[in-house]
Amino acid sequence: MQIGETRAGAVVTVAPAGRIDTTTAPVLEQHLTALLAAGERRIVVDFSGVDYISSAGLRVMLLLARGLGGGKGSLALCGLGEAVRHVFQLAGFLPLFTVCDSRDAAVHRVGSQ
Amino acid sequence: MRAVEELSVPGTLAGVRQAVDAFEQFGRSRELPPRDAWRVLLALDEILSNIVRHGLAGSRAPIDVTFSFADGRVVVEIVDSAEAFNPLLAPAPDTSSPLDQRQPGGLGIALVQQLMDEIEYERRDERNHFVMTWRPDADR
Repeated sequence: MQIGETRAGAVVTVAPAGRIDTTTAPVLEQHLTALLAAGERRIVVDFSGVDYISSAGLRVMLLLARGLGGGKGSLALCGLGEAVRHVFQLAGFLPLFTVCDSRDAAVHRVGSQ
Repeated sequence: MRAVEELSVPGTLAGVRQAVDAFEQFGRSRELPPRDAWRVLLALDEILSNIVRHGLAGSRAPIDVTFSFADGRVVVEIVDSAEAFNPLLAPAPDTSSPLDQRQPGGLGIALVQQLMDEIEYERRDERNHFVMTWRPDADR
């Protein structure tokens, strides 16, 4: 899986591409775990390049949110396409996350906390 | 016209990916609506990875997968030789507790139940048969 990474000030934006499923979720998990271990505390995940996310990917998002202390202010998601948003909704995950309409809005949101 | 494809994949995570890739190819060649084909890809991933992780428990025994597309219905049949396991009886997942108490277990099967139009399980000839049906053009 390809994972793009961009920094703007204290905010790191992670942009995985393709499917987030059983075989790719561990790659994303490692990437995010490394960011947390490096002390990053303001993270945006941009899903605009993601085809769909399975339960394995949802688990990774749950671990990321917990790793950031559960504060909605330090994590924002953006670029959720129809498939990704649908799965988040079915799983009851939307209330757990800050979801923004654009990457700029997401970066601004976590950067201003 | 009825299109059928049968394959046998190893009971490993690499086999799961092989089956998902094969359906993607199948969908393209049968001109399934790509807008919604992710539902089947996701469902395959969930069911097969569940079999590999929990059912086969490392035995790597092959899993037989059949895709068919006829009369506007996509039918995917998955047959494995693991111990009897009816995923439809799995407990409902937690979709409402707060972040720190949220348990991710069971989400996969629940997603499959909601993304497919029908799912059936049967234990027959000492094998688990799991069949899911999706109607791409059905009103949702």
